[in-house]
This record gives sequence, C-alpha cells and structure tokens, in this order.
Amino acid sequence: MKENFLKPIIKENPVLVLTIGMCPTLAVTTTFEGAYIMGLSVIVVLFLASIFSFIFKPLITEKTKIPSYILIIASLVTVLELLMNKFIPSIYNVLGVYVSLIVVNCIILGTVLSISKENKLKNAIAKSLGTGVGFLLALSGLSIVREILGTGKLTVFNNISSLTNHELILSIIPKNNILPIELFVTPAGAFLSLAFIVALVNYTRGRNDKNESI
Amino acid sequence: MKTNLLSIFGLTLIAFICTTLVFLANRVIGGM
Repeated sequence: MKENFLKPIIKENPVLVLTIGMCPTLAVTTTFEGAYIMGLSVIVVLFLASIFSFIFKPLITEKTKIPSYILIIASLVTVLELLMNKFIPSIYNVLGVYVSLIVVNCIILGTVLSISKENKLKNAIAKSLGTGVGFLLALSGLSIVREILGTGKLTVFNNISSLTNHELILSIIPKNNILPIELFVTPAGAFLSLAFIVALVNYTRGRNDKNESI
Repeated sequence: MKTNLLSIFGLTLIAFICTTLVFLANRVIGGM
C-alpha cells in the first residue's frame, strides 16, 4: 500500500517523469494559488473516481471500460465545477476552462484504468491519492519557480480570500536590476521552467539508478 | 450475447446514476 502511494509521487510522477497532463501544468502555473487549487481538484476527482469505479466494477465489462470511466469522471468534474462556481467563483474564473478539461486529463483516465485491475480498494485509493499528490507537488513546484522569478511574489490566498477571509501574497524578492523576469510568467517561460525541472529530476533519477546498480 | 447485454445494461445504469448525481447536485448547489 505504501509502495502504491509513493511510487506515483517520486518514481512515476505523472508530470515530471511520465510527462502526461501537460495542458493544465503549463496553463495554470502562473500563480501558486491557481496551481495548488488545480492540484487539489485533481486529487478530489481521482479519489472519488477510484471509489466510484470500484463500486461500479461488476457493471463494467472490458468493452465498456473507457465510456463508463469517462461518464463517472465527467459527472464528478461537473459536480466539482458547480461547487467551485458557487463557493469560490473568483478562482473558478481564473482557472476557467482548465477545470472542465480535468475530464479529458490523461492522468485521471490513465490512473482509473490502471487501478481497475486492483483487487483491493485501499490499494486503489493509495494509488489514486499518490498520483494526485504527485501532480499537486509538480504543479506547486513549477508555479513557485515561475511566480517568484516572474513577479518576485508568491500568491498563497488571493482569489480564495472569500473562503479563507484573508489575503496572503508574500513578497519574496524585492525588485532589482535582474529580477523579476517577466518571461517566466509567459507560456514560453512555462516551457523553459518545466524543461529545467524535468532535466533536474531526470539527472537525479539517473544518479540514483547508477548508485542502485553499483 | 450475455456479455453484450451486461455491457449495455451496465453502461446504461452507470449513465443513469451519473446523470441523476449531476441533476441532484445542480438542484442542491444551484445552477451555473
């Protein structure tokens, strides 16, 4: 169970190792707040989808696997959208179409398809939570790098201040001749930052694999 | 034949349950 939870976070991180689910990764990581809200949304959808898919397992045959899972995921995302629109409309407007796009996020469908082979519910939940947490960590890491280098600030609570009752925007780096570099907030900066982080992760993994083989 | 029937029945039932879930959520939470 521990292995099922930890493997998708470190060894098989969906964003940094498998490079799937790139659309929200590049789009919503301009602020830390948007990134962690998206990560939490994915965790909620994955967790509920794994439970629902387990409940409906006797009704799902090999032929109807994909349409059934898409139905389950789509209805869960619609409920999530309704909740977000009701309670945190400002962040819902910021994330925009990317909340709806969770339906076609290959991280979710891929994870649900892979956990459909699990026989125990706790293993399935551990795997889905691990994947969700891996996605959340990757998104948060990327957004921290991009926001700090791009604006010099770190937005923790801004659009969700209606829920938390206070704003929290940290000034990390004061303005100077070099920073902030606005490129990091643009899509090009997203690709650059992601490339550097993926390269760093691959380098670390390569070193670890070498050490293990020795 | 039996598998096909189960597939159709299962998919229809899942679609019905999911649609009911969204319908109820929309009624409880409030429309967009």
